[in-house]
Amino acid sequence: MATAPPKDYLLTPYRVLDLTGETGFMCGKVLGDLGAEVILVEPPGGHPARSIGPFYRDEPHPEKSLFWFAFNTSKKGITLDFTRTEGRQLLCELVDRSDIVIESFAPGYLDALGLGYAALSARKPDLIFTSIAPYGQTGPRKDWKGTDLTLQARCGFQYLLGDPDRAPVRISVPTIAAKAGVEAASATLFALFHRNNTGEGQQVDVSIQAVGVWQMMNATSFPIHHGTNQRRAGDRYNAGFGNARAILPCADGYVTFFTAGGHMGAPTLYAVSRWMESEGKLPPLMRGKKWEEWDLARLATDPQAQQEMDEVNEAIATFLATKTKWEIFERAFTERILAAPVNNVRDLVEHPQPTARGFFRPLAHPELGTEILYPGHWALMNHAQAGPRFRAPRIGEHNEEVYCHLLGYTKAQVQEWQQRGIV
Amino acid sequence: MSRRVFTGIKVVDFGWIGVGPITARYFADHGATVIRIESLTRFDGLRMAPPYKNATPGLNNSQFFANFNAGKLSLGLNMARVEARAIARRLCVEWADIVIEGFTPKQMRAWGLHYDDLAPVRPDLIMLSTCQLGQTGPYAMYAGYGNMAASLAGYYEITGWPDRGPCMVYGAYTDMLTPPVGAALLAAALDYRRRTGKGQWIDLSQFEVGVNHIPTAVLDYTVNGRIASRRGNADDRGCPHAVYRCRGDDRWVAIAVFSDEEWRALVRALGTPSWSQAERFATQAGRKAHEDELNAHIEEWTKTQEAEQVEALLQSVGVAAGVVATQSDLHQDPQLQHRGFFVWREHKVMGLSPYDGLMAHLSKTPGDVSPSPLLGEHYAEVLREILHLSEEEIAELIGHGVVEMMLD
Repeated sequence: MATAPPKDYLLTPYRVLDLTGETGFMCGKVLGDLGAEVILVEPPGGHPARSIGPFYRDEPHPEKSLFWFAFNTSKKGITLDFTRTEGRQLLCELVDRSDIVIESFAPGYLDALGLGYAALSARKPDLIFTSIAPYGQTGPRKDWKGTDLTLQARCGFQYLLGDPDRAPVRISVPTIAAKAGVEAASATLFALFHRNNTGEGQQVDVSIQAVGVWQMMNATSFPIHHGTNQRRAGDRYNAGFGNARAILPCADGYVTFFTAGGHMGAPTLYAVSRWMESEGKLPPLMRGKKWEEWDLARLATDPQAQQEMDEVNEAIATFLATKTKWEIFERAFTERILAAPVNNVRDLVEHPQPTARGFFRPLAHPELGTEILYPGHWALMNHAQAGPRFRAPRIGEHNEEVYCHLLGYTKAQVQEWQQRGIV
Repeated sequence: MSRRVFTGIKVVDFGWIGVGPITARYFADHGATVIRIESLTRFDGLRMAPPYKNATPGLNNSQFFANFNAGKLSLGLNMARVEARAIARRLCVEWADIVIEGFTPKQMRAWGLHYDDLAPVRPDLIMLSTCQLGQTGPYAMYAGYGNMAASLAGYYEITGWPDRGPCMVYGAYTDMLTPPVGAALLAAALDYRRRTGKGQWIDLSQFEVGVNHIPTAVLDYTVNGRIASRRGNADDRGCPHAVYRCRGDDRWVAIAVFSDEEWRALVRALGTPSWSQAERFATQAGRKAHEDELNAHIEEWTKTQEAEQVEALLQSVGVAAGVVATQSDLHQDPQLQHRGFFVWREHKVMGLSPYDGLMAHLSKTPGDVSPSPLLGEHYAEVLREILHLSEEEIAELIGHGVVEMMLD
């Protein structure tokens, strides 16, 4: 039987010049995973983000940063000091041969070097120039510093997370720059679609703060419509559907369970009632209930309704405490119960579903003499594929390919630049 | 009005709750014609979910729904009826460039609207199918909301304090992460179609998207065997790196210091208090080793200050700081105001209401936000102008309960 040829990637014709740092890496990764040729530009000696841990086998080393590996798949890498005149000229030559530039410097930094959107678009009017910054390119706070923690705070998301008797928390693994990078990639592709229709390039200005606001689901307009603010509620579901405990201990860890009546929650409450009944553990307060009439809207205002919800919630918690995560997941799957295990990273890597879909996939790291298992595709498609194609670049790995083959310089010339610290 | 990116692109949105509708909204914001297919008999749960205008529940009164469906046309169809399915099929086959759906995988097949049903007559159709765990694999039929996929993707395990159990991540977190991935794939698929003539079926798992946003934690496990857990607000590289109580009711400020230079700036901003001169705080490693003590000193100071004052002072000396903003704060935020983030639009039932706006500003084609439709509001426009049905046919479909609406 003939094997099918490998599927296409969607963005094969396009070249991206990636000038970003740690807050912008995800954008180029997405474009690279979708098939664009992404050239990541590092300062000579390597990018400072290579010092971000964790590290391969916990050995701090610029070629062993797992942060670097994780966010720079499917990219080629060159070194270039574009703060110097010759470096600037080389960067411009690369821009001439690129469709897209992405950057995450402090607003104005590239302009001062003569490499901002104004200068580069004058040179190449159909260029897409994507900027990712904590607060965007303009406005009273454009120069403010932002980190994952301070931006999760300033966008309003953090106010909604954590135990009520302690300080608000962020998700312990940074996520806001990853989300901003994906938003930047989608907006960049919108601009590319427009360019391909009209020939017109443009600047894409992404504010990480604004991206952060879009994590808040339904929260932003509560003060306008209800005169209230949503607040953090620990392990309770606090999005305005009553206030039931949503994370429950089980026999071998925790599960999440969505206690809600009405149209959204009734099938779950019937199904869990049947399960409890089958083991002789359905308490009187849950018997003969018409769960679709258990009105969510009352919960916000009616203390009696909240008390009843708490009692039902506790009865379910007592029952689920005797089951394992896997028993609960299997039951949720077969009976359509709104419940799921609180997975840790080992649970999710070992779950049979991503395994069956080939989601985690090994990439070769010949220098380390090994393969590393990466989270994989962005989606499965019938005519195309989208996922990590090869590991992140080593320092200057593609200098020869880019400077000699793409730009047409000689090896001797590149060596000379190397000696002078431009490359 | 300035040009928009997707003017002339046609989208049928069978989305449900979050991911599908938000994905389709990107295209509406950028000029596509998006028809949201909904139903009165089985209405989208968000139509009866808060917040509501004047805190009053009603199918046309939910900002939760409105926010995710801004700028769309709405057609109400009772999909239990064969005539409704025929209309839906005509829109997909005769009209759409893109079809988006977010049901558990068996639903579209039951309606004869699966990609396999549509592609033979429309090989250039682009279809996005998104669900919790993907269209294939043993657990494809797992049904849930984003608060389940977020749990499966590991987010609750890594939210909260090390000495306590997991905390919820507000809402349905993977519903917030997945839409831009869908939008990027759809935009890339449109470009691929332009070049090759080929359509695409995109199988988008919300669990997988969730995991793809924490790849460092995955590699730390697959390489080092380390399992990420809850750390409060601590960070390997930063110290101080925490959220500190300020003056007032539930007011907090986040401060993140990543270098000795930032540390010295922080100390100067605090007026160089004597505790800050201790040898053990001189290096990042020393500060990290005495983090609790350090945080207590800083909070002694912040407790006496307004959060906004701490933030402005520290930013002025180059230290990252951010008020933990309430939702009320966001509506007063000068930077979000500068960007025109919240967009107030006149909704036919809700009146003037705020929509969450665009995250990315495109300099030549900025896009815009239009109000959300009433349930089934655009039946005439869709049936008459797009499908060319006669007034008699339309009246009959309404009379027989095939076409549904709620217009007040």
